[in-house]
Amino acid sequence: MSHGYQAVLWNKHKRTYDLAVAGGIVAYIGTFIGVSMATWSGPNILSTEILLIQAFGSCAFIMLTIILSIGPLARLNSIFNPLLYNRRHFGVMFFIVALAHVIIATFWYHGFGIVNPLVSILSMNSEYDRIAQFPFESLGFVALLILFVMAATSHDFWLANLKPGVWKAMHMFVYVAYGLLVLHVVLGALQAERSSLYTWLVIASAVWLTVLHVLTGARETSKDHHGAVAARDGGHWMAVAALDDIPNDRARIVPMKDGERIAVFKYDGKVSAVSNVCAHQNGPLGEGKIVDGCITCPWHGYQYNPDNGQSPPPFTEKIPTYKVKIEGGHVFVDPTPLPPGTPVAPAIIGGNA
Amino acid sequence: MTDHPSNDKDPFYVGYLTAPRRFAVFSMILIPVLVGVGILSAGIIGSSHRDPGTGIWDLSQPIELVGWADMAPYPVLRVQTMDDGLLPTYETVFVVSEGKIGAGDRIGPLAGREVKATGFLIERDGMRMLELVGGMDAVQEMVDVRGQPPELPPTPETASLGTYTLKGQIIDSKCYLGVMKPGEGKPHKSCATLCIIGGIPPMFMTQNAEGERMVYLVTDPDGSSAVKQGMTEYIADWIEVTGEIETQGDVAVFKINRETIRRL
Ligand code: FES
Repeated sequence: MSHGYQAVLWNKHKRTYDLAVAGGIVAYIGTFIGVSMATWSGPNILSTEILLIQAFGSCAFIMLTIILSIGPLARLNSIFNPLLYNRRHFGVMFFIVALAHVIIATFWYHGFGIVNPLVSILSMNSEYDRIAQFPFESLGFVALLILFVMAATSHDFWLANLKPGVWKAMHMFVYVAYGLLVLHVVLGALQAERSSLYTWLVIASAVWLTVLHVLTGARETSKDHHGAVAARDGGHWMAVAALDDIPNDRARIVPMKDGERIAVFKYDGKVSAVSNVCAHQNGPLGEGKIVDGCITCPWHGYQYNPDNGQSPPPFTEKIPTYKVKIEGGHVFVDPTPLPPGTPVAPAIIGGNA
Repeated sequence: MTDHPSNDKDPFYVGYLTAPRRFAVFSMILIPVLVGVGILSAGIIGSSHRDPGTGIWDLSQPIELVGWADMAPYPVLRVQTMDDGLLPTYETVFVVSEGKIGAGDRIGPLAGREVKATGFLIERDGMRMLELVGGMDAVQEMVDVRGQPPELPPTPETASLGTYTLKGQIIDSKCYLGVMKPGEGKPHKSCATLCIIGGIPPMFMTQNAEGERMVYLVTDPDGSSAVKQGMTEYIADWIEVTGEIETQGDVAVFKINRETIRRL
């Protein structure tokens, strides 16, 4: 079974990616501290602990903004897919940076007193009914809890054992966490800033993410609209595309009325139809390609045989398949999904279906 | 890992295959740009700190101070600075414990006696504070070996400077004088509250007409500790408050009326 969790293997790309992220973090923290110490030195030097709190905190915020941008950017243009490919490691590194911020801040600001630091975080400032005085620490604390659950369940084990829908819904909470963090920064560190520039930058990041997500959502919906197909043939079979409209080794994504999408692949003189939803992290299989005879997901490269929706051994993922036929240069699909991994004979182009 | 020569005609990126040119080039530009933007932000944020002041917290080695223990109403040591046969003058050195805890437990019982105290020096703008180290032994009563009758403790001269309404911030003296830089404002609000309720003397930080920083010790109008409800909620907030300003020896005290506190 463990193979199934490991389909994204270590490779050169991942290592380069991880190195770039880790190097970026080190460079960020180093620059922050170096520049701060050059700005105020000698007797006016700032406390190292406070610099670390600020450096890790701001670094984490920027990282999360980038991480949340990657998904929609990749939906808008596949050129961003390489960033998506190893986003999970980026996410885990973000969590570590955020955790460093939290640990140092908890010790330094809430430790060494007559109250337990964890109690102090939530209660030392009790002005919960005021905006400017609001205990911003509690917002960061709740965000951290959410992100912790997310980091802990990011492993494929959870994907396999939680229903994909549940997992996805759970991971939508990352946006709640982001909102809390925006408030955490605006009501915390930025209250000490005389200029409102940083407040606007933080708000701009939130607006950027919102616009990006709305734009992506709108484009997705309009794609579905354009591709809308009417049931023909009176009965079960739906005409989904002209054969010539499907590029070789690629798919046409067909939206169904109930929101499901079917990916219809043309390859090797054959046509097969499978669910558009990757069993790994719900990636859009219809935007994938046939590689080595397998449907290959554009997000992390999971593969499936087009004629049975099963990952080639040793992997064990399965996706639903659909019956297909070709008539008069048109591809028809029976929109009833077959259980994941059900073998379906591909429609042969030019054959007598 | 297969190489797909056809990949450049219909580019498709998967991490375990050779990346098509278009993707490779784009990533090779995008990733350094992102890292660069990150480093630039680090530089901008890092260079925008305000002057944290010249406070120091000298942990290199403990010092010993001899003086008269006093609660005024917070623990202090009155250290003689000059005795040229005329009237001796005294410097008031605030005394705190390690962490966010006051030193009332060690100074209180010895108030009015001459003591030797050991600790680390905290100092800013001419104000000194001693952070005691070494448990109960940190403060020891001086034993008069000559068997002479004990001297009387100094009583600082007080003078009222009138009643004022000032705008500023209640801060905890330990952080402000050098332990945390910066040790003020919203991010530091919880910490300052924790310090002050733990016994660190509260001070009021304001600016005079020339824009110079002024710092006063904060007490109630009757000179008792101001660390009570009606005050602790306002720590580290920008407030306006009315009270009498009084000099007690070398210490400027702001005797605030807690009811007059108003957030700005
Ligand atoms: S491979 Fe990860 S979503 Fe498809």
